Amino acid sequence: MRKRIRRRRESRKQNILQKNAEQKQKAHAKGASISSDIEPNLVYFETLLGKERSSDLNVRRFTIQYTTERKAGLIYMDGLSFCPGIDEFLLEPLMLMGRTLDVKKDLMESVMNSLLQHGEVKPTDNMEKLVDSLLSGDVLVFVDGYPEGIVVGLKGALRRGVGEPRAEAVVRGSREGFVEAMRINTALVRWRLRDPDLRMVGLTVGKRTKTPATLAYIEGVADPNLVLEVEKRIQAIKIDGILESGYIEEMIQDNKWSVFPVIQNTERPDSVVAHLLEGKVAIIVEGTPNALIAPAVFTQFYYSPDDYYDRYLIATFMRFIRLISFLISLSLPALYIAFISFHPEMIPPKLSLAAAAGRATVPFPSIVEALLMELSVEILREASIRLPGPIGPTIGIVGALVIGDAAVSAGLVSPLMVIVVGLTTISSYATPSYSAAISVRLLRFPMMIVAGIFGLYGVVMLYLLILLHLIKLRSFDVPYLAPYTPLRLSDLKDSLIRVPWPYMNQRPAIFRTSNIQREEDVKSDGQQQQ
Amino acid sequence: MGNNNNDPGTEGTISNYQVHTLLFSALVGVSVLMMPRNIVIASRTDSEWVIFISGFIVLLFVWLIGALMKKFPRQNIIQFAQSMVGKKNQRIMARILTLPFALALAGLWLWMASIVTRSFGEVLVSFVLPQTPIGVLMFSIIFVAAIVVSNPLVIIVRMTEFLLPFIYITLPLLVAGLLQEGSALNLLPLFQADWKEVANGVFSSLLSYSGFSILFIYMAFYQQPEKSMRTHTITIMVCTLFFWFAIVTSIGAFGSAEIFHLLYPPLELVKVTSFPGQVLDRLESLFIAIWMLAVFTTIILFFGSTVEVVMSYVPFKEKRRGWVTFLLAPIFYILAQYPSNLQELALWSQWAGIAEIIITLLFVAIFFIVWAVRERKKGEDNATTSPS
Repeated sequence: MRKRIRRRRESRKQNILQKNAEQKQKAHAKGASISSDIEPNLVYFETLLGKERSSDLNVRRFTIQYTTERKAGLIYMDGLSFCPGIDEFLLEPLMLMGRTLDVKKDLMESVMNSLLQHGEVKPTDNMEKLVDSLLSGDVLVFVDGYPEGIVVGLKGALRRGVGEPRAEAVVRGSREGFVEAMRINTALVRWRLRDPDLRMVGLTVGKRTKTPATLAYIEGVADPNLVLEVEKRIQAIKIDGILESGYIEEMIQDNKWSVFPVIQNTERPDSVVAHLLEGKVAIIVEGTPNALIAPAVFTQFYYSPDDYYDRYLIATFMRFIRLISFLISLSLPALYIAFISFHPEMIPPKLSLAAAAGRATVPFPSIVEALLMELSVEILREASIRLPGPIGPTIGIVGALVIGDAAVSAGLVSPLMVIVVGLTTISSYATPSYSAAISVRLLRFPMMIVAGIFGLYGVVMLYLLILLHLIKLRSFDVPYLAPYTPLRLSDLKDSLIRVPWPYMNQRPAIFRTSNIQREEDVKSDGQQQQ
Repeated sequence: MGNNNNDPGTEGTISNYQVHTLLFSALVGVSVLMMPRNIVIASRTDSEWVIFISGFIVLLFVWLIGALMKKFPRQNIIQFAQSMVGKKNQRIMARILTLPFALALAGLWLWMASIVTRSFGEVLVSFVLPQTPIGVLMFSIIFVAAIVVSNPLVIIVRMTEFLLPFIYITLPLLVAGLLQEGSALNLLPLFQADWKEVANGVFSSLLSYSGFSILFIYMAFYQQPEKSMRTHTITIMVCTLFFWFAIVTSIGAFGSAEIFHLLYPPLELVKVTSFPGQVLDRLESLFIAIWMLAVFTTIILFFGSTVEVVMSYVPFKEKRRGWVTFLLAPIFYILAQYPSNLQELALWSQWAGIAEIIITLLFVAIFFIVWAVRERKKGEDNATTSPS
């Protein structure tokens, strides 16, 4: 019985697929080249998109009052195009002003010249291009008797306005963040970088989504080899869909299995401009506010844009704070385990005694205690992200304070452990880059496990292995731990210490920039840049 | 456009600063912990200047190796030995003739690596992890070292480059110990030792410098071999100062008589030191944690050069490096387990130091002679052929 149902379902599926394929094939056979008759063209689009089953496809047939009535058609996707504009700038002139045209001139030319009142008007006889433009929001116009279609760039999908970046807040600096529309994003970059050498290469990724992406770089500053390599890798991507820049990031990065991010993502246009000026490239993808920056080195994930806006001393101090918080978030729970279980003599005797007293009622070994607490903190953190806006922080406070306090008074965990976990969690938030913070969060767990087995010795061994991995890692042929190893003294000006701007008169050399001078930047045409 | 000629990131080469870190890491290792005792037993307070004599002798060795290696740029000792012996059609002959060299060097370095590992294992067991069997500790060191060594030598050198600054952190710890416990009277008297005592001191401290012979391998990767002499000289001087510092702080704190009874004087010094405010009550765990880095870099450098000898003797493909490493690792482990007690280990380490000096001198002599003979022959050939 069940078998029969399954078989019937299967045959129905086959039938539908076959019918669709046949229809499409018929349409293709007819419409592969644009007919000079208008009706087949319109029908082609209707079958290609499935007229009855795509409610947002809009095909409008009308007439132009020329010498005689000439049939014409207009196709657009409802919602992707700017509808009031279609009525006002396209349909109104086309329908009403036909009679005013000079009869001696060619109709097509006249339509292009005086009836389509929009800046971006392109005729084309390439059917594929027409389909792509239609699906990206352009309006197509066909006129009977001419075997070509006109693409009018009246894209106008509704978009979120430019807002404050959510994940990368700064105290001082621009409040603008990228949005989902790529064009707005490229404009945000170009508005900050009025350099004729800024290049924005248009690329398309994804067989089905056909996502537009922009590869931005400054000619004469970025290494040409780097630009070629990035472009090559993006073009080599074979995938059906790109929904976020993360897809591209994983497709083009060097070591695909690494825990550490080797391409930076940012929501800040000012940050993109700063990196472009250092000779890197940026990839801006349609549909996401996260732009990619490549190549990236380890330390740059710990730099925030305000490091460059605030005074140098504050910036340097903040970088030290971040280094400390990096070390704490990576190894404090592991050190707790090591000290409690292996080396109680290393901490001051009073602290050691207090820790032992706190642990007197705890029924677990310190490793279990630490893993338990770290896991519950991770759960809390995940929950507070998923919870709807106003509840999130509340749950965080309830979880951390109430559960933590209850666990301590119930004697399940020691008070010291709660301090350690709290400090660790807060430290991991001090990292400006979310993706780098996550990788450290992950590495904390193996760290705790080796500390439970080998104590301090295991922690050092794991640090060595992580170091080995970091040393081997490369991002577009830039060593990940540069400028520390290989050591580059000139680049240490902007490392843990940031020297004042007048002394950072050179671009970092590790990115192999074509023009190292930042201060006296003489452009290739000999013109002195201000 | 770029200044890529002098780019430290250039694949497969060792920059001048990396030369410094590599040589320093090879020489400064577990030996610093034991050397003050050995040299003080031999020449007492006079060790404070005797160490400079042995530093100078080591400098001579390094100069010799450098002079030889400069004649064969971009080739390590095994590679140029093979190319010296045979022309292209005599490969088997070349293999047979260079076998003793390869065996001697690979054996020596693996032996030295195992001694360092064992010595440090003993330190760990007696100070940090008293309940862990030493076998487990050595196994984990060797395992991690093997993972590192499965990578090209340049990666190993970059490890040392990154870790070197941490080793310098131990200096302030020693100073703190000296300030708390030291007394200037302990450092005196000077110039009391007779010639025999001085010679003994030089000899015993010379053995602590063991490791300079790995230049036979690493010099093949130098970016600027012609400038290496200066870097080598500076590095040996820095190392000597480091050793001198360890000796002076130990003698200053304990006096030469007491050092006789201490196995690891610098470690004991750090042990009695405490930071004001009792932040870290006993510093020796921190000191050992940092020192682990120094020892680890020594181990990976020795082990790495062993693997490199095998790799260039039998020209394996690069991707076989991991196999070679993990095949050698058990031998490494067995060698490290072999000495039955500390006494025997000390004896071994002495023998290894002597063997290194002999092998270095012998090889430099042999290759210089062969090289000179060949040059002369070449000169004669040119002389006979050019007129015709």
